[in-house]
Formats: sequence, structure tokens, C-alpha cells
Amino acid sequence: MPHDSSKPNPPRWFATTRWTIVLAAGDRHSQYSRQALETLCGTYWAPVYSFVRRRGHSVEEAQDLTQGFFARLLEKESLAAADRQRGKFRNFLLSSVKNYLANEWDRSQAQKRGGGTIAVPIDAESAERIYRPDQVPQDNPEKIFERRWAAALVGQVFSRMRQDARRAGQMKAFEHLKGFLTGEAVGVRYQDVAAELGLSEAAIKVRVHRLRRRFGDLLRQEVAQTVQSPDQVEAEIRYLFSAVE
Amino acid sequence: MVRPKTPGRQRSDPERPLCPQCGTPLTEGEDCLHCLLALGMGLPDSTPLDGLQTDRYTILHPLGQGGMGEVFLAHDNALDRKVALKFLSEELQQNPCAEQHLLDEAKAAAALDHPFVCKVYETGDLEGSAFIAMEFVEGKTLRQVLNSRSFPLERTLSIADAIADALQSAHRHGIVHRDLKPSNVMLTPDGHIKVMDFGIARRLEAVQNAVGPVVPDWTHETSVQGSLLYMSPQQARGEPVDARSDIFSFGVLLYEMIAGVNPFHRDTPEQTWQALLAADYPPLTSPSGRLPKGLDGLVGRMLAPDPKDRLQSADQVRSTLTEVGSQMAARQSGWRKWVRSPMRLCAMLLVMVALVVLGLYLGGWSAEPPQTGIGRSDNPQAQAAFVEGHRLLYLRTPASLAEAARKFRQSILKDPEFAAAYAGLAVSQILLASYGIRAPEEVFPEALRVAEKALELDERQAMAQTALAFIRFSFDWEWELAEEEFLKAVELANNDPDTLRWYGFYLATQGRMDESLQLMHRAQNLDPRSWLAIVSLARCHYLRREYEKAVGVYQKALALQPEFRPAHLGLGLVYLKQKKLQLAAQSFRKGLAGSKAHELLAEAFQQAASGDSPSDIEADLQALRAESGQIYLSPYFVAVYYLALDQGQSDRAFEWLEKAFQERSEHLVTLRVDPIFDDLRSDRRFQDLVERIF
Repeated sequence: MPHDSSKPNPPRWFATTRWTIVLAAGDRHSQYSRQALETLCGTYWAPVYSFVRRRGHSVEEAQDLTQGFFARLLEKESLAAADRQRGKFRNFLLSSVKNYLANEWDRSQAQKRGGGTIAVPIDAESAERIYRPDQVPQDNPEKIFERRWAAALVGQVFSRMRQDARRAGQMKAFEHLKGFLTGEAVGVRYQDVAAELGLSEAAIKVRVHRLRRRFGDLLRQEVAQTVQSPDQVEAEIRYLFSAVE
Repeated sequence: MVRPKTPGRQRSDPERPLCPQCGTPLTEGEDCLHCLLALGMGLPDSTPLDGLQTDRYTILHPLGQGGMGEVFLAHDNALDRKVALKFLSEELQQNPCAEQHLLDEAKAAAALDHPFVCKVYETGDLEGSAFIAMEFVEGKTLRQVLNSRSFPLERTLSIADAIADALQSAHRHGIVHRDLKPSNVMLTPDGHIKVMDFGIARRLEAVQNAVGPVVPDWTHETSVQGSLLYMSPQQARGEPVDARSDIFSFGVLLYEMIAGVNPFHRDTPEQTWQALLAADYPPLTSPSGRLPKGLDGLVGRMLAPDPKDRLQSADQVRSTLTEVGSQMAARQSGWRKWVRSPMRLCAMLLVMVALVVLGLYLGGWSAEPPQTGIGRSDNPQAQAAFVEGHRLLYLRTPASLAEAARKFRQSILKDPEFAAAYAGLAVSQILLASYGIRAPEEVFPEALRVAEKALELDERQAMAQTALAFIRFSFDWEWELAEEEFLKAVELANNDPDTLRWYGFYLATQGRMDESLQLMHRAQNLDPRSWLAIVSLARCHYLRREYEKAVGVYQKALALQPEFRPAHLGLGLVYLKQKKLQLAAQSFRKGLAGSKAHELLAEAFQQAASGDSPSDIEADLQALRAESGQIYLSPYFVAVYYLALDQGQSDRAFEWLEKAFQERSEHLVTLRVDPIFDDLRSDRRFQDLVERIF
């Protein structure tokens, strides 16, 4: 039982996701953990922007506030003081932006903090396109945030899949088969796709199956980057699944 | 992209199109997030590979997904038997060297031939995807059965002895398991065990170490924490392993079966890892307080951190287990004499099985109870019992519903003027019948009495009004009166999802499908995270003959509440209509549980789906249903079974529908619209039945 352990360092794979790196850094905020946080913020800026917009800020204000928010977030002191008990990056980001808006809503404050420092680049045009206020007018800011979060996550997975396909010279096949992931291809016959791609129907079925599995795996990997432990991955996906109604 | 041949998307809301696959409203220009997130949860459970044929195998359907890859049930066309095909994961297939190592290891494992070891047959390839063909083992994993509970000691010792036997044989062949854990031990329906994945599972990690860096796999929770909990200290340090590593993992498993908890479970993988290396675990105790002499010592020697101090072989473990078992038997001879009576043993086993089955429904995500019907009593004990009953009601498990009824009764005893407690009791009784736990005629008369009592005490008691409306329609078959009562209920609780769902269901039985769908959507919007609302919506799609949508929505509900039996049963009906018999049988197996009669029927569905000549279950089924104390099996599902048979035995189906009529089965209220009976509609007997009900 109790045994004199030499207390060696655990394998490095215990803390290899971006959010665990950020959390593990604690007060010893390093360049490494800052990069991890920057990457996460770069992926999930759109939910923050949409949240700010739905809180009633104009396009310009929302851009400034979002920039200011990320600049503040990436400051060493701010992160060290952040509440990290919630476990998930999504919760952390949402509560942080709420606090920020409550305390830092003034545009001049935002500019003071964010002005001149572009922590997370935001493309104004695409930000508005992603926000799409006309589509779900009944959604509150939190709901919009969750929806945009799920969309950012899915977008990240598609982006990785496209990169893989491009690298493997399989872009044409990917574009043909992508619809089988999204429901867009309901009613499309495998044999028709097979004819277009010059493959057998069985080969198409295997590819579609593998593509779905690959999407699922990458999605779980992306979610894992934002949570504190592996057992939160499934719960997080389920949460988002029910949040995107 | 080839365009779909289906008509344009349907719109329930002119502003937002619906996903053609799952029916979720879409944001224009955006893919269906619902469908995509579902892929992250391993849904849908049907795949394009279902029905695909290779030279030798016909793939039937997926069985599960693990860290190593995905497993499918298949039919071996050459030897006319079921097999499991384990496809290697995408990442592994992209590493030809690792893949080859693993396939070689599988070939070595194929030399093992032992009754408690899952047999590896061969390796193969399907369109570039490598697989391992192995014995198909039915049953549950030890993990599924063990979750959060310990095993009776006698059963623990017999399972441990079988595992030791399997390890002994494998170790003699020079094969080390490397990943022995509860999810790799199957308990078969006939009570045997099979150890799965000998030499294969952990080998994956070893070859990855050999050919490249260890890639953390956080994509499947079981891959890190699940396996780590059973790793030997040598494995945790990345050192070479031998048979003694399996002995350590076996020790962890044995500890967990006895204590009901894993000795190394900690808050984080890192803490678990540290505890493993130090063999730091709490002293072994049994929840029953009974720990036979020698068992603690045996587990301790299996869990020694240094392999040299550990029991050296599975033979040694077996002989110690035998000693412990004999000593325990000697001390408990009096008890054993009592148990030796076959009738008593049988009774005891039945109780144990029932407890396990009921226990399986406990836990899980649940909807928040709506606030409608919340009442207040001046008596604090009555109030406390009511609040607890209300909470239990919304867990919707067999055990919680029965307990909810008990709590409401307690509440009434403490405060006989407490209207909401009567209403709660009425609803819990209704649900016990609706979920097929109690026969309708056993519970509805009391449900009616207490609902009326609640309204007598408080005429604006909305939950009681809804209950009364439901009874009028579901049990009394008083259709017009039921609608009047529903309208009163809606007036009292216009925003209560349960009231809307139940009224929506009533409307569907009357063929008023559009109104029904509208209410179901409204109920779901009011309570978007409630799986109950989702299941009601799925059933509505089924009754509207929108099978694809129904499947998608049922799967959505099951993703939130995987053990919800009515959803499995509903999904089974949809699959039957889609002629997906294997999937239907699989769903019925999950939905039909709780008694021997349920299991017999589930087995019969499975047999029929496999194309085997169905055995005549009639006599056994009647006898089992007649056994007192059994969970109620609605005759409706027996009728459905006879209709599902290849040759469709409509005479038998009608006999069971007649029984359903006599027992006032709730399922008959859908008779006029239920797609499952479409082939019977022209039959005079069916028309007669409809006339008697409507």
C-alpha cells in the first residue's frame, strides 16, 4: 500500500490540451501558455463578438469591445485573477466577457486597453456575416454565444478536414462526400457519387463511413482542447447538442 | 456535388428551413449543427456500411466504438455464423508499421482457444480498411453491470476464478493481455464470462511507442482514464510488461468488484498515475461489511507495486481464490443450506436480477421538473415528501416512479388536504402504466380517484386537471370528454410542457397530426433540453410516417438519456417500419427489459431479425406474464412481434391485441393512426376492434 514513490514526472500527455496548458500554468503565466490561450481565443472570437452585438452594441462598438476584451484577457494579471474553477474554456470565456462588459463597457476604456494592440484579429465583414442577427431574433445573448461557439467548433473541424484532404490530393472527393456529413445529401444515391468519382459503390460507403468517424474524432479532439479533463468531452458535446436547437 | 432527389425542405416556420435529416430548424447558409455535433457522439447508429458485403462477410450493424477502432456485427457467409469485425482506427491505419504490428499480434492471439477467451478468427481488409474478425459475444460488459456498485461476494469469486482461468491459459501461450479491465470482460446471458481483446488492445500503445511518439487520445474518455485505472505500475512508467502486469490489473478489477469503487480513482489522470506508481489505495472493504478471511491479503499481493513482490502467476491467484471460497463456504454452511433449496435460490436470483435491471435505470441526465403543480403545504413533512416525490417523478425511471408514488402517499398522510400531493400521485400512477411498469387496470382506477380528489380540494390544480384529461382519454376511452378536460388543463397551464405534450398526443390519436406537431414543437421550445419533449416529438413524427425524422429525433433523445426505455421501444417501431430488422431488434432489446417475459420477447425479436426460424414463444410468454410481481409487458408489443415475423402471424397478433383491449393497454389509443398496423386495416377483426375503442 503506501509505498515510497520516487515521484517521477507524469507522462507529458496529462497536460497537452490548450486549456489544460493554460490552467496548469497558473500564476506562472508563460509564453507557452499565452500562445495556447491566444490560439483558443483566435478560434472562438466569433461567439464573443456575437454576444457583444446581441447585447445591443453597434458594429463598431462590438469590434472595439471584442478587441479590448481579448487584449485584457491576454494580459498576465487578468488571466491569473480569472475564475478557473468552472473547468471549461467556454464557461470561462462567457463569464469573462460578461464581467468585462459590466466593468469595461465604455468604449474609450476599451480603446485604451485594446487600442493599438491587436490581440486577436477580427475581420469586421465576416464578424457581421457570422453574427446574422436576422436569423434567430428570439435568441438571447447567451444562446447566440452557444450557437456561435458550436459553429466555430464545427468550422475548425471542417478546416482540419479540408487541410487533410488537400494534403492527400483528395479535395474533389471531399467536396462530393461532405454533404453526407451535414444532411445536405439526404436522398443522394451512393452509386451516383461513385460514378462521378470513378469508384465502386462499396468504396464510397466505406469512405463516407470513415469521413463521419473522422469528423466525430476531430470534433472530440477540438472539444478536448477546451475542457479540463477527458471525461468532460462527451458532456460538453451533449451540452452544445441540446443548446443549438 | 450530386444534388438530392428528395423534394425541397419542409418548413414549419417560414423564416427557417428544417434540416432534411433531423428536422432541426436551420440558420440559412449554415450546416446543420445538430447533425454535425451528433457525429461527435457517435450518432447516427446506422452507417452506410450496414448490409455491405465482402468476399466472406455481410456487415450488419455497429456494435460499439473503442480507442482501437470500431466494432461491427457481421454474418460470416462461409460458416453461417455471427462474428464481430473490429476495424482499426483511422489514425492507426495511417501508420502502416503500427498497423502491421497489431495485425501480427492478432494473428498470434488467434492461437488461443479457451472457453473464457473471445476467439480471434482472422484479419482482413475492406476497401483499404483493415479489420480483425473475432467471435461475437452477446451480453454486457462487466463495466456496464458493475457501474457504481459492488458484486455479491459469491458471484465475485466465481467471475474472478473464470478470469484467472483465462489468464492462466493465455500466459501459458506467452500472450499477455496488457489491458485487462471491466470493459474487456463480457458477461454472457448464460452467466459465463469472456475476456476480450487478448494481446491486442494495449499492444496498440506499445507499437505506437515503438514506431513513434505516444499520441494522447483524449477523444475517447476510456482511452486515458479508463485504461489508466487498471494499468500496472510498469505500464504506467512505460516499461516492458509480462504476465505479472496482468495480475496487477486483475487485482484492481477484483478490488472494484468487491468494494464497488476503483482503488486508484482520483480527480485527475495525473493523480491516478501517481497513486498507481505508489500503489496507494484505501484499505479494501465490502459495502456489506462481509469480507472473507484471506481476500484482503490476496488483493494486496496482486497489487504489490514491485512485480517481484506480487503473486507471480494466474495459477497462484486461482489457488488462493479457491482457498478463500472454501473458507467462506465453511463459515456460512448454515446460510448455504438455506440457499441450497432450489426454490429459494431461484427466488434469490430473481430478486438479484430485478435489482440489477432496476438499478441500471438509475442516474443519468434528467429534465428539470416544471414548476406546474408545485403546491405548498403548511406541514413541513408533507411539503418535504412532496418536493422529493416531484423530483423523483421527473427522473422517469421505474424505480424513481414507484418511489415518487410512495413519497406522494407519505405527503398525503401528513397533510390529507394537500391537493398537489394527490395530483402528483395521480401522475406517478399514470406514468407507471404508460412506461409499461404496472398494468393499466392496476393503477388507473386509483389515479382517477386521486386526481378527482385533488380537483375537489383545489379546482385550479393544473397537474391534476392534466392527469384527469389523460385518464379520460387513455384509460376510459372517453374521447370527447377527454378533450374538454384537456382544454381546461391548457387554460390552467398554457405554458406547461407536460400538459401540451399530453394534449398533443391525444390530438395525434385523433388523426389531428398538424395540431399535434404544433403542440409538440411548442412543448419542446418551452423546455428544449427535456428528453421527454424530444421523445414526444419523435413519436409524433412516427405517427405522421416521417420515419427518417423520427429516427433522428429519437436518437437525439437517447443521446441525452441513453437508458430511456420508451425511446428505445419507439425507435424499434420506426426501424420495423423501415424494414431495418436488426436495428429494430437491437432497440427492442434495450427497450424490453425488466422481466423474464420482456427478455423472452426481446430474444424472439432478435431471432426473427437474424433470419433464424423463430421458436414458438407463446406458451412461455403467457406463463411468464402470468407470474405475479413481474413488471408489466404490454400485449401490444407481443402483437407487434407477431406482425414483424417474416410470414406475419396476424391471428396471433389479433389474439394479443384482444388481450391489450381486455387489459386496456394505453398503446391501443393510437390504433387508428399507428403505422405498425397498416397491413391489418382492411381486416374485419381490426375494424371491429377500432369500433369497440373509438
